[in-house]
Amino acid sequence: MTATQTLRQEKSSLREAFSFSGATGPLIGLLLLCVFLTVMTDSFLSFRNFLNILDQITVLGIMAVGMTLVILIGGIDLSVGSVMALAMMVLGYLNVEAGMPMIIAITGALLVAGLAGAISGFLITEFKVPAFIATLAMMSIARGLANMITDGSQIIGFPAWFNMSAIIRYGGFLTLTVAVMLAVFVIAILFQRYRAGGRMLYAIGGNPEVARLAGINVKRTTILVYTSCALLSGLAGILLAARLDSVQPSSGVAYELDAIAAVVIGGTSLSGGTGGIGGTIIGVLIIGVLRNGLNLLNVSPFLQAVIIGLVIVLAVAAETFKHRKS
Amino acid sequence: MNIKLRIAAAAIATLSAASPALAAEVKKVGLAMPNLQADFFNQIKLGVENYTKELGIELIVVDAKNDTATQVSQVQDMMTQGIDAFIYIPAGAAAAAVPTRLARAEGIPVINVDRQPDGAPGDTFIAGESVESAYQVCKYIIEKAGGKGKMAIIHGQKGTTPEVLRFEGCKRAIDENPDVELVAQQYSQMWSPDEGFNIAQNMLQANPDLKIIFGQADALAMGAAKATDVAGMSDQVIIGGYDGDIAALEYLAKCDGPFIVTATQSTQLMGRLAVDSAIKVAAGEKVEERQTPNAVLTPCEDARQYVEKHP
Amino acid sequence: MTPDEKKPILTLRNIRKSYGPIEVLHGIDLEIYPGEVVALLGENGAGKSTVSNVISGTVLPSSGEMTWQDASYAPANPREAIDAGVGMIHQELLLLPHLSIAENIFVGRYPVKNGRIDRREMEQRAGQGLQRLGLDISPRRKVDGLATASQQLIEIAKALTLNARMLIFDEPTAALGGEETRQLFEQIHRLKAEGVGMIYISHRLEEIKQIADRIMVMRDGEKVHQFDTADLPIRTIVEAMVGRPMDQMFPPLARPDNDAVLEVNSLSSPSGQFHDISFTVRKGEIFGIAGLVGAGRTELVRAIAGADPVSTGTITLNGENITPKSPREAIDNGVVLVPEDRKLQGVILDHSISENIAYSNFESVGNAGWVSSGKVRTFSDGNIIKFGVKGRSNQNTGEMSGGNQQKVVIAKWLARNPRVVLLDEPTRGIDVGARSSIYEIIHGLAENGVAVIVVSSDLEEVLGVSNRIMVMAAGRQTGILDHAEANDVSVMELATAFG
Repeated sequence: MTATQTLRQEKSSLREAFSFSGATGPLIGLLLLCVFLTVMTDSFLSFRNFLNILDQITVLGIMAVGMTLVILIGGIDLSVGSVMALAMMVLGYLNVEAGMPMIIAITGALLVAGLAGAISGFLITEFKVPAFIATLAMMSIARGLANMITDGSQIIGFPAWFNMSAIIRYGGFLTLTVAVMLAVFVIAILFQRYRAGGRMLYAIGGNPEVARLAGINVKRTTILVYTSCALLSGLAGILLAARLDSVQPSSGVAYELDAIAAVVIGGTSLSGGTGGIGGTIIGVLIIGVLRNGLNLLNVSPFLQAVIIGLVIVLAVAAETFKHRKS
Repeated sequence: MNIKLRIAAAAIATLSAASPALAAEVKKVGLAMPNLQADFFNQIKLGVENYTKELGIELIVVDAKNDTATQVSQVQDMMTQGIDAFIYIPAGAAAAAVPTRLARAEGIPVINVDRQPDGAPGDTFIAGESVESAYQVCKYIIEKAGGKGKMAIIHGQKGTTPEVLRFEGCKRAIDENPDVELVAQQYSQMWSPDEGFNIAQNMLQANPDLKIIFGQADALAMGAAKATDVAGMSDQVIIGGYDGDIAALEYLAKCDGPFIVTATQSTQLMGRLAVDSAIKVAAGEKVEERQTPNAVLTPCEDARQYVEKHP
Repeated sequence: MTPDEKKPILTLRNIRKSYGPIEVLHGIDLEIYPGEVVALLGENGAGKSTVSNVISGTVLPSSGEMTWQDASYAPANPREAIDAGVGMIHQELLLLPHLSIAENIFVGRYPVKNGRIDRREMEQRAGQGLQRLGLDISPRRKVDGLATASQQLIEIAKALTLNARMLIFDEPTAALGGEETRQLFEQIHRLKAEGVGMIYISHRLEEIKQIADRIMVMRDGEKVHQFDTADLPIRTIVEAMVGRPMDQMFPPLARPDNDAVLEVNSLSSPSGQFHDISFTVRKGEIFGIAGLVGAGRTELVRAIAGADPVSTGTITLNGENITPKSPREAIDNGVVLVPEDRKLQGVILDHSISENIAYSNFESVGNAGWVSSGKVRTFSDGNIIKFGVKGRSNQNTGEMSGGNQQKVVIAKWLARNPRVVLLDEPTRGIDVGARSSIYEIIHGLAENGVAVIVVSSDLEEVLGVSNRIMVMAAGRQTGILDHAEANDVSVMELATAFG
């Protein structure tokens, strides 16, 4: 292979890493939305507002990455919001009530979250429980456990630096929580595009039997995917705890729906096998910018709900339309 | 009580006459609501809305739908829009201190209404006098029940300021009547009528000889009243509520049902008070750390007048 | 029955169909007489489906005329065609598995009495339809779990209860075994006697000879030949289809070594689908497995490939026990399967060719688990050329013909240089042209020393390519025949021998 060929190939794979193939529709939508809000408000197009939006999407962004993995293999995870609340309560209990160092509290919270995901995955693969049912059950169980830890009360009293990690902007723009989110995005994109493990998810979502006959360990991969999704929910919970400087068991109610919406807006098909993290990030940004913009436009809260619903319908309809045309 | 209210109203009237000069300082006010489902909050919102319109102040309202994280994001966006004062009703029990800190960072007044975050107080805290009023409601229903019998309490969202204080007041009335036995207590999540219905239904099932129910909000009491009707126990049970919601007052005005008394909060007045306090703090004036507009004990015979004009 | 004495039931005159500027049907003329079977032949893409879709109202012709029972006929949708009496039996069965047979037959037009579904009436009429086809099943039974042939007959019963005067069969025997095919043909003969006109589309030329009265051959949207009898040498028909003389359908026989590569020793399945199977495949040998549908052939090769579990017995490769517990283990030992159902087990239809090939070759397209898309493309481009796949790397496999899909399935395995290749019904639903190139690939494998096992319901195919043929019946092996002693009689004898 000549040097120019190598160069060309590297260039193309670089371009691929930053392209959002399959999500061009949503990307155009996002850009139009930004232009519209820039014209309609004086406060939208500012560095500070941009940073606010990043702050505001951390939890949804990380959760939606996990949800993308699950939906790519043709599954669904309804338990992410509850698992997040459970992880938050474990974090608060270990750090504040039991007085353990933060690092142990974070490890404990992630372990509990991961375990919840592994159990869902195990039920789905070994007992053939449909993913919808298994994670619906986990949603209820995790929420109940989260409430049991403190009998329904919140926990406050984290060390001061914990909240500061969500407030102090290092280098003038990057809070620790946003940095974690960006790291998750980069790792997820690299995994999904360039690791054999990432490509396998597409095979499983496209047709699990073909994947199995192709030598892919479908069961193990499925359990790992649900575990990762729950781990990411736990991580989102830790960041949310930092942002709110408190934890409460009623956190994250209906977050699974936001996460699913972001994934779907980003062009990942609910039947699995197509889509990707790049699209999901755009989906998350669309929801984040939309919420932020509607607040800036002073749109009534009731109308906001209607608009977000319309955007979901629009995104999915556009994708279906594109499919039919091609 | 009525006289007291009139005095308060007069005081407000004087204040508002004096305020236009100061209002030049406050052009834009942000109001963060925990939810817009409860009539109690809607009334506060109406009070703020009407009053800011009168004064020519721009108002931004956001609804957190009971989610603390959403509320933090919304407050961030408010700050971006450059508000001059912040009226803050925390969503959820965690009563996150973060929005207060955000507003402090902008150097603008923070007025808390109904709920106060731990460890991060605003410039003033406006909330109905809960303990005394709850004591009066419970005392009233216990008396009506003949000073004895089994009693149940339907709490609001666990750990919130009103939940804690209303329980404190009611407990005092119970302790004064040794023949009253508190047999059941349960917490609701949303202070909503359907929760009140379900909780009361279970309580009546478990305690068929229950005589007294205190619902910590009118919505809960209304749900409990419905459950009592369904169980065919409306002749045996006496129910008290709290807040003076419009729907509850309309129900009470008929004086025909188990739910017979509430404490009407001056919700619209609280809204106006919040705006006034904001203007004062911005102008560098001193305001009371704690402002407590009284709630008025409203037996069903008195309910009619408040339906016509809510305080 | 001479055409002059009877009036045609359906006539097509100069039917054309264009999509945009591209004309796919160039003026088709056709007559169907009552009580005759016209075979419609041609390679994939020749326009057979478009013709049958025009007749059944699924596709509107751009120009031309049709006459149905002496009246002008222009169905705007399938409903109108059905109402006129034209029924279509699709290749993919369109039955609802969780409803009863009667409900399936009457779905969308349930008989109603007093605002309620009249079940008695429905079941009675469905029962009559089933009886007419000699099918002795209760109309209340659920479709789920019925044999494919019975399901096919239910589709026909459905058309008959609509008083169809004409039926179009699209590859009806693609999923049927020999016995089931015979049953279907019996019914077709019965329908002929009742005066029903039929169009029969199939790739199985042996069948055409048995069932058709006339043959119409299409190529590239044109009618190229019409034979007024089906009693022709197969070669004549094939040459008409491909448009060039064919020297031979099958490549020369493979020349195996004497060393045994794969040994199967008293293998049994836990569910009893096959029992006590033993055989040896030599290096460079093509080993055929024949038998009726349900004989356990598919289950056997799936077990050898690790896709299904085995209860007892061993599989050895070059003397080493490799009895696999998962497809992964078999693949790692160089044993690969080209499965029976291409669309459900072979390829992921809405993924591209290169992705499909990459799924079983992550070692070749990556470096320590990092997959480079450049490598994926180069790798699949190489294999596309090597195996003569007509398509581009980034094309979805769902857009390709069956033959090309099958080549992708084969390509994704052969890229690994396997030692044993198991092919289950390798040419099912694939047209003649693509078939011979798949035989070439199989032959090439054997030449390179691979041990090849071919399972097929197409007797001619097994006889044509195999060095030896094992015949199975009811889950047991009934004999292994050498190429020289194998013919359709000896194989069928063993296939129907029980015990």
